[in-house]
Amino acid sequence: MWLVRLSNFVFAAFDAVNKKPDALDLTGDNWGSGRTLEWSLPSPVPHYNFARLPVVRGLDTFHIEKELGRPAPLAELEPIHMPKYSAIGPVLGACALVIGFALVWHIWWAVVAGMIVSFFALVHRSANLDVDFYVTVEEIRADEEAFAKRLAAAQAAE
Amino acid sequence: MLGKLTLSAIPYDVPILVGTFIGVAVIGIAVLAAVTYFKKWGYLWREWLTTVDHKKLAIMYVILGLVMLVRGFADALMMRTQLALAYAGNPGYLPPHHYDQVFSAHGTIMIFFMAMVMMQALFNFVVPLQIGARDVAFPLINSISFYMTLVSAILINVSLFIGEFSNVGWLGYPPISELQFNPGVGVDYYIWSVQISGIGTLLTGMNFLTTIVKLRAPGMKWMHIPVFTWTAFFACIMILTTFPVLTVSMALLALDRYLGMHFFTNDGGGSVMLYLNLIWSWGHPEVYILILPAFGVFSEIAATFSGKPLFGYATMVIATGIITFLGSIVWVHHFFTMGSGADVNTFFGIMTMFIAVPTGVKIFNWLFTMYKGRVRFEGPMNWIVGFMITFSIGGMTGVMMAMPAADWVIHNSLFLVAHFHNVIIGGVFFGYVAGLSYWFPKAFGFKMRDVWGKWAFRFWFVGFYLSFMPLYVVGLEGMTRRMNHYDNPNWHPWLLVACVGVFVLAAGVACQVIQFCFCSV
Amino acid sequence: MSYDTMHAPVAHSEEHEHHQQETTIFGFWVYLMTDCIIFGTLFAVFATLCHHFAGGPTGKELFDIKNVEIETAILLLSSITYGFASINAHKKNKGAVLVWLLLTFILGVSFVTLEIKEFHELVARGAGPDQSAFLSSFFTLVGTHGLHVTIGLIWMFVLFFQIMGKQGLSSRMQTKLTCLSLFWHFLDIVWICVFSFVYLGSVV
Repeated sequence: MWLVRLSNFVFAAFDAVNKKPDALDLTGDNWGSGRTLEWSLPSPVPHYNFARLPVVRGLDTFHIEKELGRPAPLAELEPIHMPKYSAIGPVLGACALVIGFALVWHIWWAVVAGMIVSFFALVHRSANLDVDFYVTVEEIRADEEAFAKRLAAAQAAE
Repeated sequence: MLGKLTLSAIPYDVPILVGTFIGVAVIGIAVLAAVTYFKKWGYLWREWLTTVDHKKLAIMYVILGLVMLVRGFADALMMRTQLALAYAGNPGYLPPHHYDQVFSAHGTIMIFFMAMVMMQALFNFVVPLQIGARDVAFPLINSISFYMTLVSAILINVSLFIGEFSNVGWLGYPPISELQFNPGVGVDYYIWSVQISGIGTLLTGMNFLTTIVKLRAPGMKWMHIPVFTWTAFFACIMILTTFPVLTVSMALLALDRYLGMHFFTNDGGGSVMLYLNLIWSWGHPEVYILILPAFGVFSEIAATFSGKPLFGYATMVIATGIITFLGSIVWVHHFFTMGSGADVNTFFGIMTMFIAVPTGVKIFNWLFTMYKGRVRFEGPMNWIVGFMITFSIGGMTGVMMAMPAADWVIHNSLFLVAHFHNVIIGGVFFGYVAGLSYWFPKAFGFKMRDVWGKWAFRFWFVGFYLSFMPLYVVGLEGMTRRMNHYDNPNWHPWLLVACVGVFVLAAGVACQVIQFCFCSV
Repeated sequence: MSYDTMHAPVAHSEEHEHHQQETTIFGFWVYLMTDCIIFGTLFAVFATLCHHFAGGPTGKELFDIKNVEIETAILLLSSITYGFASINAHKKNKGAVLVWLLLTFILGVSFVTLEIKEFHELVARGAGPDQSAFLSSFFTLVGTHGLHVTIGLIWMFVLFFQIMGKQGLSSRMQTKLTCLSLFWHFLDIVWICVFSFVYLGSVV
C-alpha cells in the first residue's frame, strides 16, 4: 500500500511538471461554496477590486447573493479613484538597509546619509500632488463584460 | 571610513558558509541574468517593485515568506543533525559558537520573517476583498511596510556572509547580549533587523486597523464582518499595543550597547528582569498575533468545505476578543522560575489556563461546523484536520506548563521547545499554508495541483510528530534546550528519531516548493 | 485607459476627499496611540529604575527646576500658538497661519535648545547617561520626548514652506496641519507627565 502511494508520488512529480494547470477558475467562486465577498469577484481580481461597491445585507454576503439572487446594480458605473504606484517604498527600503547595516558596523556617515536621503524622499513625496488617477468607465465595463462571458462559458460547460 | 568593518569580517574559513554563499550567489546571478535576458527590469519595476496594490504586495510577501521558510528550515536541519551526531564525546560538525548562531537565526527568522511575513501576506490579500474595499486605507504606507520587512530580512541574511549573527537566542536576553559579554556585531544585526521589521509590522497594524474600521462596504455592520477579518482586526490591536514595547526594548538594548547605558547591565544599577518583562509583554501577545489569523483562516475554510455556515459566529468573535485580552496579561509564564514570587506566578498561571477556554470554544465551533456538513477533503481542508489534532495536543502541554509548580521542573527544557513548535507548526504554520492554497486561485486565476499539497501535508503531519514527540520525552528526562552536545545515552535514540523526523519535514518543504514553483506556471 | 485627477468630476472628488481626510486623521490617531505606548513603556522603565543610582547623583541633587519650569511654560505656550494657527487654517487665513506657525516654531526651537543645554550641563557635571540606570532611563525618556519635538519642528518647517508655495491651504494641507496639531498637543501632554513624574517626583 505504502509502496503504491510512493510510486504514485514519483509519477505525480513528472506529471505535474509536464502538464499545464487544467483547473482555470472561470467563475471566481473556485471552490463552489465560497461565502464571503472575495469569491464574488473574478479571479484574478482586477486592480480596483470592486467595479461597484457591494451592498452588504448580512453575514456571508456572497452566500446570500447566491441564495436570493444578486440585486440588480442600481448605481451606474463611475470612474474609480485609485492611487498611483510610487517609488517611495523601494527608496525608503534601500535607505533603511543602508542605515541598518551602517549602524551594525558603526559607519556613522552612512547612517546620516541614509537619513538625509529618506528625509528628502519624504519631502519630495509630500510636495507631489500627482499621486492618484481615475480608472475609466470604459475599462471597468470591458472587464465586467469579459467576466460575464467567462461566467456564461462556465455555466454552459456545466 | 568603514567603521568596524574589515576584510576579516568575511568568514571565508568556514566551509558551510562559503558553500552557502556560492549557492546563494549562483542562484542570485541566475535570477538577475534571467530578468536581464528577458528584458523584464522595466516590467518588474513598474508593475511590481513600485506597486501600492495590496494584492501584488501580498504576492511579494508570500515569496519572501517562502524563501525565509527554506532559510529557517535549513537551520533546523543543521541543528537536528548536529544533535544526532554530537553524542558521547563526538563534537558533531557545528562548533558551539556557530551552533548558537544557528538556533538564534532559526528562531528569529521563523517568527519575524516567515510567520509574520505570511501573516501580512494574508492580511494584504484577504482583508480588503472581504470587506468590499478597493485598497487599504494607506496604500503607500502598505508598500513601505513591505519594504521595511524585506530589508530587515535581507539584513539578517547579510549577517551570514559579513560578520556573524547573534548567538544568544531569538529574544537576545541580557546580560549575555550586552557588550561586556558579546562584543561582536551579532547582537547588533539582531537588534537592527528586528527593529526595522518591527516598524514595518507596526505600520501594517495601523493600516489594517484603519482599513477595517473605516473602509467597510456600505451596509457591513460589525457583526457582518467575516471571521478572518475579525481575527485580523484583533491581531492588529495586539500589534498596536505590543510592538511599540518591542521597539522600546530593542532601543534600550541598543543604547546599552552603543552608548554604554545601564538598563540591563549587571553593573550600574541595570535590571535584567526589566528586559524579561518588556520583551515578553511583547513576546507573548506576539504568538497570539500569529495564531489569531490562522484561526480566522480555519474558520473560513471549515465553513466553505463543509457547505455550512460557520457554527457560532458570534461566539467565535467574542472568543477572539477574549483571547486578545487574556493574551496580553500572561507574559510572566515565560519566566516563572525567575523569582516573581508565588502570588504573581499564581495570577499569571491562572490567566494562562483561562486562555484554554476561548480556544476550546473555537475548536468546538469548527467541529460543529463540520458536523453533519458535506465535508470535502480538498487541499486546504487537510491542514485544518491536522491542525485540530496537533494544536489540541500542543495546547494541552501548554496548560501543563501554565502550572508554576510543573513549570519549575520543565522550564527551559526541550519539553518547552516541543510545546511551542507543536502550537506554532500545528497551528500557525498549518493555518497559513491552508490559507495560501485556499486563496491561491483567487490571486492567480487557477488552482494549484493538489497532489503536491496533499503530499506536503502528509510529510508535514508525520514529520512533525516524528521530530517533536521525542523532544517531549527528552525534555521530561531533563535535557535543556540550546545544547550543543550531550553525554546521556538515554537521549540519543530519541534524538535520532527527531533527526529522521526533520528529514521527513524536509520532504514536506520540498513538496511545497515544487507546488509553488512548478504547479503554478 | 485612465486620466489624471486634475480633470476629475468635481462633486464626486470632494466627497471622496472628505472621506479620505477622515480616514487619515483616524489613522493618525491610531499612530499616536502606539506612540503613547512607547512613552508609557519608557515611563514604566523610569519608574522601575528611578532609584537605581548606583552610587551616582540623585535627581534631587541634579535637577534645576527653574529651568524645567521655563521649558514647560514655553511648550504650553507653543500649544496655544499652534491652536491659533489651527483656527486660522479653518478660516483659510493664510498669512495668519504662517505667523502663528512661525511663533510656534520659535517656541519649539527654544524648548529644544533649553533641553540640550540642560543635558549638556548634566554631562559636564559628570552625570551622563552612562553613570547609572537612573540617569540612563532619565536621559532616554526625556530625550525621546525631545526627539519627538525635533521631528515635529522639522515637519512644521516643511509644512511652512509648502503653505507658502503652490499648495496653500488646500484640503490636503488642512489634513496635514490637523495631524501635526494632534502630534504637537500630544507631545505637550507627554511633557506634563514628564514634568510631574520625572522632575517633580525626583525633587520632592
